[in-house]
Amino acid sequence: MVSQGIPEETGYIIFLFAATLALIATGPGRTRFIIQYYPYILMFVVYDVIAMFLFAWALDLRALGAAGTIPILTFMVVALVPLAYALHLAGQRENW
Amino acid sequence: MADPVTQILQLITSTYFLEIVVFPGLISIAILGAFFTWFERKLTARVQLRIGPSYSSPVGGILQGFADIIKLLFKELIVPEGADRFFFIMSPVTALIIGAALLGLIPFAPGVQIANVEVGLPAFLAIVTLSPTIVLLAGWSANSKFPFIGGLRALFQQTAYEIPLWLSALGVVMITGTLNLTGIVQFQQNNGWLILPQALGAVLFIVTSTAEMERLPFDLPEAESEIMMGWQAEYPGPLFMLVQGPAFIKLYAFAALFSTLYLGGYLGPAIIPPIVWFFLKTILIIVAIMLFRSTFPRVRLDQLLRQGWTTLLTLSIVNIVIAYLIVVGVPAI
Repeated sequence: MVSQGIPEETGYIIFLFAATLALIATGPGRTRFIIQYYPYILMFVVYDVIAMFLFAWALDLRALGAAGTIPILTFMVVALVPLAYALHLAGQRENW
Repeated sequence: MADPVTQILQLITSTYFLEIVVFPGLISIAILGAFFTWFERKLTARVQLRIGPSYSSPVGGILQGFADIIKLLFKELIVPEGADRFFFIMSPVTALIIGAALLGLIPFAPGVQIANVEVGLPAFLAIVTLSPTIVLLAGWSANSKFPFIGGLRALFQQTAYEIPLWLSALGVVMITGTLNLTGIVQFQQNNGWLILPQALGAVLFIVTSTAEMERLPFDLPEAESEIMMGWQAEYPGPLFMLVQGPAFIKLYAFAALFSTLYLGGYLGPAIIPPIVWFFLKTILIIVAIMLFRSTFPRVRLDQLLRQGWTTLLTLSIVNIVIAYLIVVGVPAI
């Protein structure tokens, strides 16, 4: 991709110059990124709330004993199967 | 009714006030923060066979952190053109307050604790949850591209690693049956340190808290060799000090929480006082986390997120199962 006979090192040196001497930037400072923010943060909120419920369960684990196991197990399976599916879908894309 | 001067004197000399202001509160946090900056530079230098800071005092440059603070305080405060002044200045200040608030929940010795909250552990983790928002605001308000990229990276990383962090701490709650940090220490006094039954949880906790602190090998939001300090790039001298301060305060707070949860906090043979035991354990954890920095290379963002959402989440659920089997016992099939 080197054009007009400029050796490849020159481009790298120019890049280093730009990085160290802080040349004047081009374009607006607040650029836009496509980051799929909404599904990501939704996933985070859901699993954070799940963690909070698990804390409430863990606090009374001795009193509940084995009787509390079946509901919480169902709860965790219901919560984690969609996550596994979402990660499976994400794994098929190249870009996270 | 006493006169105002006597009332103020009573307030200043009260134990509660001294705990908040002197120890384990603000002044000791500031001094230890400056000490840890020197300690990290010296330790990294020794690992890499360099000398490190050596000029600022007769004893191995131990005053380097204070010299840096004085230097940074006398620099000019420049706010970049087009930056959002309010959020640009308030974000590091808020981060500092959040970092210092974490240490108010830690029991340093029997009775030496600013706030003995009944829900100490979730309160600590909930305060940590505030920090991605602050970092994103700091990156966005600087009106520059590298800080914004750094802020977005911090958001992704800290939200992804928060859930394994909560779930690894859940194992401790299941075994001890309390959320109070002093209660957790007292449980370990009777039943032994939790690092043995919760070894997997301890490893997960230290890995995820390293990611929460944005330290190497997870320092993608700062990554000075690719995005030039990331969200901190535009900060001038005095504000840069306020940005760097919370990083070391968080390191101190997370190491203190680790030693409280897994290493028995202030417990230890009575030859030396409890507070010394506490600091020995905390500094041991800090040294371990600092050695990560000089040992591991930085990971890529997609590797980081994939490991966070898959491997660490799975392992933390395995850890919950282990804790469950310890408490309830293996069910008869």
